[in-house]
Amino acid sequence: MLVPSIFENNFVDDIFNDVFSIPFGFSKAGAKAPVSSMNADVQEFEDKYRLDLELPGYKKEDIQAEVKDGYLTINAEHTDSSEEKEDGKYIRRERFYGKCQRSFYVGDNFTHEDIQAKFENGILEVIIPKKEAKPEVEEHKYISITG
Amino acid sequence: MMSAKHYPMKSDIREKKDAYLLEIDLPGCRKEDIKAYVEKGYLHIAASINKEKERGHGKYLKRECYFGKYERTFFIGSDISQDDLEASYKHGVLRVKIPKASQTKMNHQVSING
Repeated sequence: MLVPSIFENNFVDDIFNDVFSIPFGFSKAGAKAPVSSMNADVQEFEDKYRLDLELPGYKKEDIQAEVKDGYLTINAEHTDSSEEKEDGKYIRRERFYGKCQRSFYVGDNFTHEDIQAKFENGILEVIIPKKEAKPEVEEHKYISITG
Repeated sequence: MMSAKHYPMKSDIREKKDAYLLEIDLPGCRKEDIKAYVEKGYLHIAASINKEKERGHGKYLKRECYFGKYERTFFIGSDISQDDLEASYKHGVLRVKIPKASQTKMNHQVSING
């Protein structure tokens, strides 16, 4: 029996969306700077789940993905590089430059070794294989009969 | 100064001493899918992704990434020709270097005299 769909009830992801949907620059005074989250596509195949995250402008070294307590968390932060730090004043600035983070509930059956990830052209592709749930070992508990 | 068609990609424009640097977020494109050309003083950038071909036909549980065609134009003036521009695509970002008009005129003068 395959593990039931794990991305549909990710209420934690919704919570993240609510808390971090404050537009950058409009956070209340005294609050921490809001962490942005990236766009994600989640697809279900027969044997796996595929997660595509938009992360343009980041390098592979800037991205961290980890599995902990059943949650897959992706962190991305721009690190200073000579390419980005060119001289010049900004006439127009629309792109996001900073830290972004997003978490997805995947369940306790996975470790970081099960999950594959590839980063190409600004898209992080994460493949999570579907695992069969371990069948419960039937235990026979016999009742002792007296007499 | 700028017009947007379809989905305008997030862009940064930086002014340097001798050029403008245009950085455009275009995640998920391949270099071959991106078209950039200059026409009547406008720099046109267009890109399209065939997501189904790239990502397969799975059932979507969540869909937030943009589907469709990216297109945006930037006014750069009629002094700049397509050959003056330098463009590179890396990590999902298209970087276009647009030399300032005075620089290109200077270059032409030098080549005639020299």
